[in-house]
Amino acid sequence: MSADTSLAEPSARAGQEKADRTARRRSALLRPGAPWQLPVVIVLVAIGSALVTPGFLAADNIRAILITSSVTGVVAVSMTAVTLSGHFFSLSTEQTALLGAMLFAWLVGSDTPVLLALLVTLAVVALTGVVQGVVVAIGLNPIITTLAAGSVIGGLVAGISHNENIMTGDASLSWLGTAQPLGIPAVVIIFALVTILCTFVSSGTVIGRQTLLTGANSKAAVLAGVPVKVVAVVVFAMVATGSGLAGIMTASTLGYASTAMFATLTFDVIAAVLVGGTSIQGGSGSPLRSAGGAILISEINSLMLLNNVTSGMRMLVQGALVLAVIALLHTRRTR
Amino acid sequence: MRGLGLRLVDAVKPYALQIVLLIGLWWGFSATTPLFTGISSVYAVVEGFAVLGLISVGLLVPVLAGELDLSVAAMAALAGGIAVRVAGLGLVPALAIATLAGLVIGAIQGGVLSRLGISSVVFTIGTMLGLQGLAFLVSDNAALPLEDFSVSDPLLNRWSFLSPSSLVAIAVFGLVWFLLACTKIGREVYAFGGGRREAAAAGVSQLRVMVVAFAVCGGCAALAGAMASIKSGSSTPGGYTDLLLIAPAAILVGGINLDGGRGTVINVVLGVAIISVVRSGLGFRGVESYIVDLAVGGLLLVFVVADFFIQRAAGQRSRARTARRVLTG
Repeated sequence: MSADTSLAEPSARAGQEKADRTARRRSALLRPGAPWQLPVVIVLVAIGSALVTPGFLAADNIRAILITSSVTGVVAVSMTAVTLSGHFFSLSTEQTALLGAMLFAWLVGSDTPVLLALLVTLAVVALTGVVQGVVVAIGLNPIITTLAAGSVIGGLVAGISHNENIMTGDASLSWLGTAQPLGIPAVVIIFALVTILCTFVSSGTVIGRQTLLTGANSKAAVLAGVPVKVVAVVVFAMVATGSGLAGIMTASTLGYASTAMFATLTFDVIAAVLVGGTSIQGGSGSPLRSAGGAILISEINSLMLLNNVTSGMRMLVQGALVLAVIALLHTRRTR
Repeated sequence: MRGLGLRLVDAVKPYALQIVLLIGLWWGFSATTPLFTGISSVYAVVEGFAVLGLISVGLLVPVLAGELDLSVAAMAALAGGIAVRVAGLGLVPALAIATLAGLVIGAIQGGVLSRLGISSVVFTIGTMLGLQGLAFLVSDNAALPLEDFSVSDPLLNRWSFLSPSSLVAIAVFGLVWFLLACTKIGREVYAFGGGRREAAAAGVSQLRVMVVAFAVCGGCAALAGAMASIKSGSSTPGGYTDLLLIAPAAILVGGINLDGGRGTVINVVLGVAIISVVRSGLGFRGVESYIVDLAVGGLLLVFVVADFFIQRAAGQRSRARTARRVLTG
């Protein structure tokens, strides 16, 4: 503001300030990555896809898109806290999901009550997350830690199971795959519930606030008395639990668990978080965005599958989408 | 005489932990694995340099600059496809074209990273997805076999414990050593990794450092993938995923901190040798590949955690010594 505006009439100054604020609000709305944009993109892509691919908007296809996005989505939503806290990503989600699927299938297959099996599995996978969180909290690189932890978990699971499929052997579980209350598949409902829960934890609880502050400025967080080490442990426990849950969902739906599952999960999840627009540096974003990212990617994949696009091309498109989003959204917010 | 001895001790001291680990593991494996002895075990370990070594020494340059490149495995897969596609031109042109592609893609990555100023971890995850897709496209979505297998013949030679690929790798190690130790850009990479603001203030160009670092990394990964694919007779577009872990593992176990600014090619040689001993030692015992992954992952975790506490203890000792000196005058 120049000197003569400050000398202007008070009412004129107030008018100027009001105009400034509106302008700022308008530019915040137009900024790439504003919250309203992702849902609009999802709808536009759906409309565009329906124009070029008849049957895209059929109820069955929409259901299929939501079902495929739900496993990736649950992990992406629970991964968001890791990204928000400034610890980038967990690269062990694939193996943790595998652990969850195999352990759950084995427990249920050996006649453990379903609820007990669920709790035991979630507790075990959460523990793997706690261990990784502790290692990251003492100051090791999260990427390397989770990569190494992933290969250890994957190796143990493959070693103990001898790479054999494990059947859940219990027909009462298949409702997870077939039940459709109000026409919505059960896994999609779980995805929605996990999204609501994670969004609530992220924005409505103390630990969620502390996670955001840690990611926004870890030095300031330490000075403000935020237990940044506890934050690290909690966020890695969250992503591990989410991955384990995704494993349980898959094992229940398919009726078995196999070490061949989840081969592309880790990078699908990262793509979903990035496309959702959560800041890589941490500190801004939300699990809800990651859920949107997962749905958008699943939508585009469905479009390509319906048009017989090869798997290489699909990967290329996914990579290009991620890079485009990074270039559009994540550069301006650098500090 | 005494001066020389001391100088030798000083030269070896930074690598003492790695040397002890290497000798211990090698001894352990040769004592417990009947087949892991003599020239064949040395050959197996040195062969590890052809792929893992090449990729790790390339990765060293961005790591020294304080960056990480997670796209190396996909780059190797893509270069393998390119090399097999153009293998009709002959072995050397095929390798050269694939390596050149890697250099160019790497240079572009470095340039874009420098322009955007974002985390290389995140950006290279994006490029990894893209390159992986390209690798499948180049190979027609499957393992693409060589049309003329005689192209790979020269690579199948073996002299004692050396092979053409490991000799190429050793030559590249020499080149990277020269680049880092004897050239201006090498010193700029160290300066940039050691302190970005200070380096920029001293006139180091971020763009130049990033372009060179990622070009070297991409070129090395591409050469490794191209040689491996031609040698095995087909491209593996979905292959090399294990390198995502073991290439950074070799660098870390070699004693290099990912913060950047510190480390030499010798660290990488030792790190690659240690990982290679574990992999080939377990391979000679005929264990499954997931056990190898488990062992490498476990070794890496134990090593970095232990190293962290050793460094911290050393830091506290040196701080205590300084405090004592200050207090006693």
